[in-house]
Amino acid sequence: MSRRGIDYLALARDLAPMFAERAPRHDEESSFPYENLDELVRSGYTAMTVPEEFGGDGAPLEVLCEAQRILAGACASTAFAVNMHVHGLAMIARLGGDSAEWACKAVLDGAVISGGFSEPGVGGNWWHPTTKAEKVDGGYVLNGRKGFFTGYPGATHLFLSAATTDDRGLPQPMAFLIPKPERGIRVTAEWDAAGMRATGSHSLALEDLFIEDRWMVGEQGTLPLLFMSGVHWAWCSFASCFVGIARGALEHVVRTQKARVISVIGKPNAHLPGIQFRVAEMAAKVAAAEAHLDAAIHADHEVPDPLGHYIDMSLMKSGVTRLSAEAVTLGMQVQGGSGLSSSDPLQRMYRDVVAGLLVPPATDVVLEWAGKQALDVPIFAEPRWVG
Amino acid sequence: MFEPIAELAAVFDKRSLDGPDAVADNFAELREIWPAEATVAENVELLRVVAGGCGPTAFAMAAALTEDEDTGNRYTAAVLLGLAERAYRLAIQAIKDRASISPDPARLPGTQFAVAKMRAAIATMTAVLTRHTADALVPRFFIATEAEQVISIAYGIVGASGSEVSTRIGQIWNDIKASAPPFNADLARELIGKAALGIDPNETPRWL
Repeated sequence: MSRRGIDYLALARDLAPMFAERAPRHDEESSFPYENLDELVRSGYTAMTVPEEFGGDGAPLEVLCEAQRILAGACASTAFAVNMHVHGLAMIARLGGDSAEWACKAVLDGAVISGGFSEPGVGGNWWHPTTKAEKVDGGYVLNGRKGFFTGYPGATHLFLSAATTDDRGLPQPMAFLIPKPERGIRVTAEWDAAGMRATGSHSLALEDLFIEDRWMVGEQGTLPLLFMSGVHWAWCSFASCFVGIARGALEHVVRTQKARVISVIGKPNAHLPGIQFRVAEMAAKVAAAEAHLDAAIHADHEVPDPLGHYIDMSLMKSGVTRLSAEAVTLGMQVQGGSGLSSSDPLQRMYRDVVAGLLVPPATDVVLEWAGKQALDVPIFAEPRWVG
Repeated sequence: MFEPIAELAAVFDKRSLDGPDAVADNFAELREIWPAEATVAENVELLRVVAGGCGPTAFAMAAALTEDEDTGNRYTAAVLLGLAERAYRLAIQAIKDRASISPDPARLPGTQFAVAKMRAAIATMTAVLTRHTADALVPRFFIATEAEQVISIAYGIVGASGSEVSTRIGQIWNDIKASAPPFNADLARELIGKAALGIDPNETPRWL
């Protein structure tokens, strides 16, 4: 129970059945779950990570991740859309200062943040934003493109990255948190994808978007360091959404196979050895994914080496999402042809869980960095590889 | 608690270079200094350390410490993980030792990716061994497969060159396959599956 009287896990459990009921329609229509987001705001869920010093509960990472797991088992799109808000706010709040204070106050008043760091020309290299920020009187003018701006339709505020160029011509990545503007941002493509269809992860063009100085988060050029230091909020919460899908899939498959009786067999399918074997493999993968996530949540996050911390957390996210995807794939094999039917939520989970393999951090970059670190190869040395 | 065991494990490792594993001698020395007051969690950590020196000795110690099926599975899983960690360390060192070769294998993407996959697998195995406390069968089942994969990757990146390191990783492979106590993976699948599905494992007929 929190200072504001909210038990976030109980709240997630209360909301989950309603979200699960709405999930098929939003998936079919690729529509944004505004009513779910409204419930999350109204109930106080979106203020979960506002620190106590700013009037919130300061829910710890383990509570955030467990709550997100519960929501993701019901409607992964809703969980992932609000994840951009809850973890983004935690990272901003962690920095302290004016931007943390006003962001937290806005969230307590009902603001919803969506985040945009992915860009078409960047791939997995989020620390090199190609969106240009040009210094002008009183602020910056941004021009560039953003992809996968998850949660955009329901957001009141946008957390986004850009880069200025310093005197030496080097890019200086920076971040802004801004009230959603009426001018300067255009949706170039509405989200229409195979999975996570209700996340509203639109593509955007930033066209002469003016941002006042006061909306800058952190110091200019420090974005990579700030992000790496607080990355556990991002990657643990990302992973929790996908392991939540896998846990939901396992529970769904178990329920189905215990109930399904094929007439030529005369007993529930659960009594077939092949079903038991695959369910066992699913259960082991889910257990391993949950354990790895749990270890990352409870790891020492105040380490002196932000890059090493970033790599450990990134390896965790890659491993957990891989195991989650493998578990749901096994679930499809257990379920058989009916698992592909649009009436079976497993097919949605199957399409949603794949997104875990694709959302940041990019797996190949994680493997490159983790391998180089283990082998004492300088991570940012050029050329990246020899041949 | 860990230092003397680690020192002894290093001695076991050196002995294994001189000839066949002296399991009986190793085991006797190990028993002498093993902390009787160690908890299950501490035994797990210590067995990982011993496996870093000699797999068969670690398996023998795991068997000696076993009190029931649960601790048996957990201790065996700890040794399997320790062997995977040993293969990982040997592979890393071997690659670093080849820095003078052109191209330096450490600077090749394939080597880096393989090393990262081993590292990720070891992190997951460590987590499931230490944090999945509901039962020990799931960690043992999971680690049995993953540890093999790590050792296989380690062997793959050092190459079957007949070098000392490939021989040592080959020995670890032999340890994991031939020295580990018998494990019926199908039975594990059946028990884990039935538990998840809420089926009594003693129910007859066994299936349908």
